[in-house]
Amino acid sequence: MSALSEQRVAVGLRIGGRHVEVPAAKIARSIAVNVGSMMAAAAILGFIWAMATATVGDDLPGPVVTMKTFLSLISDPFYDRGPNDKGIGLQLAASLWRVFRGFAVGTVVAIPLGVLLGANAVTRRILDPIVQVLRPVSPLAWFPIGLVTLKSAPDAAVFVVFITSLWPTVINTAFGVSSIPQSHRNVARVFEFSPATYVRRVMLPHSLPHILVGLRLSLGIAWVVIVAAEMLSGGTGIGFYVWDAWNALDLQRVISAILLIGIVGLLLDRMVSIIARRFEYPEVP
Amino acid sequence: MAPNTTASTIVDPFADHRWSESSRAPHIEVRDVTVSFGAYTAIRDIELNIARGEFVSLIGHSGCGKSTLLNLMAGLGRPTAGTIRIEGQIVEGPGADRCMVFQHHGLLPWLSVYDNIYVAVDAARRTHSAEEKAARTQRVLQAVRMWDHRTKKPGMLSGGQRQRVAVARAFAVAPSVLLLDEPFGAVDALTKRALHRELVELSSIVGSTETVVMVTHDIDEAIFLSDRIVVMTDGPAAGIREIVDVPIERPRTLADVMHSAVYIELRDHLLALLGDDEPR
Repeated sequence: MSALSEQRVAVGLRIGGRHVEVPAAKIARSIAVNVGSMMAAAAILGFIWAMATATVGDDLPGPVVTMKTFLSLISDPFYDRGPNDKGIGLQLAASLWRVFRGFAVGTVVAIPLGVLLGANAVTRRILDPIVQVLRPVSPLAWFPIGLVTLKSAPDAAVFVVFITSLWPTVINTAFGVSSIPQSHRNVARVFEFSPATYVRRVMLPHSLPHILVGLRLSLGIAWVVIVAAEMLSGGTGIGFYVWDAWNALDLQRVISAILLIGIVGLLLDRMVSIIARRFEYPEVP
Repeated sequence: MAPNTTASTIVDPFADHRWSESSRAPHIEVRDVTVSFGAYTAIRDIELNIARGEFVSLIGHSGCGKSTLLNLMAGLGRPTAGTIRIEGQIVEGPGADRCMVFQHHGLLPWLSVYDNIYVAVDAARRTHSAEEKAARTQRVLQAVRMWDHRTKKPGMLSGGQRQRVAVARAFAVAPSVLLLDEPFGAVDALTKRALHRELVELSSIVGSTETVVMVTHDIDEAIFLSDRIVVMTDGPAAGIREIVDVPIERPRTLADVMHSAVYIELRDHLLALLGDDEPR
């Protein structure tokens, strides 16, 4: 690190839409800090886990044996030996594909619904009770509805993802649209913006950060829900994988899958927040 | 408008209009206007005629309803009683003939300086070609010395720069009536001077703006820029206390105004009118 800083190496970065030269030494330090804190977190988790297996949960596999299974699972993630024996990468991919479909349809429905809820008092009065009644329903309660309409268990899982990932986007979009400051509305009126200009230049840019918060929450929920839905639907997917491993009493695989589910969830969340950063703008005092 | 522009003299675009056409129908006519919000009456029985080419300031303490009156002229609100006419037409909403500079600039924070102006020009002049609109955007941004900052977002500008862009945006749509709602209230005194000068310059460059109504609580600003100053009483139910003439020759420079005997007299008079010890 000291050698780097002496050479005054700098790396160009884009931060908040601006090009910034950052010294390599600073980057190296920030990487070291990040890696260090991640290792500390892993050590704490491993310690709690080891303590748990040593005391109350003596049927649980400990961290060391589980890690062996984990590594062997991710070393060959994409093998396919028939319908009942697929690599964990394929299972994750199947789940992600379902989440993506359900989430995509959910987004297409949720954003216009949110706009209707937020933009107009009449539509809000009509739609709000519907949203409030459907929102607290447990995701799996929708499974039979999906099954009976789509006649397919995997598609029913997609349906469950769709319906439960709607609400955060609907509610955040509605909030974004309804919170447009009076000053921006006045600007649009005084300069006689057409409705299309208003939507494109005022309503959407103001709501977009809120919409993206909603999408981030929705995607998080979708990922939580798919695991449960696949336990019911069976066939493929990481949820099915967990259930299958449990039925084989292979808890090392169960815990490995839990870790992977967590890591994928984290990556999904980061992905949306990186996208969201592109639409940020500096606040005006 | 006044063609001679040298570095030392500021061309005053309002020079030729003053009073010259005032014998005809007023450009802005406020008749018996009252605005109430429920039981609260903000302004009551306002009568005011503003001639074409006049620069009129509305001055008064906070909450005296001067912004309310300006919003009525902009068409952002409707009077509870009475009428406002511009060019003889009753104001029923915003119109292309009027434009406003908002108290807190009102720039859209997600658009660049350039886009903030272009969107306004685009909305006001849909029939014009893209080149014409771009040229107009460039012209007003250069006039307020913000062309070099055109790619920045409002959040990256200083308060004075933001207000410059807001003024440029209003001129960009070439309204015949310009409404200013405490346009320089949030900027420091030195920047304010520069902005006053630019306001005067801008109207000579961009032209077409005939009548200006400005809300302010800065006495010096009102004297320097106005032909007449409307002093309002305190709310609720604010009215007009007095309309003060500013008989200072145009074109004006700040130095001329500051050194004239009339200025000192006017200033004392306005201070007395606005003073706390003055009985209502």
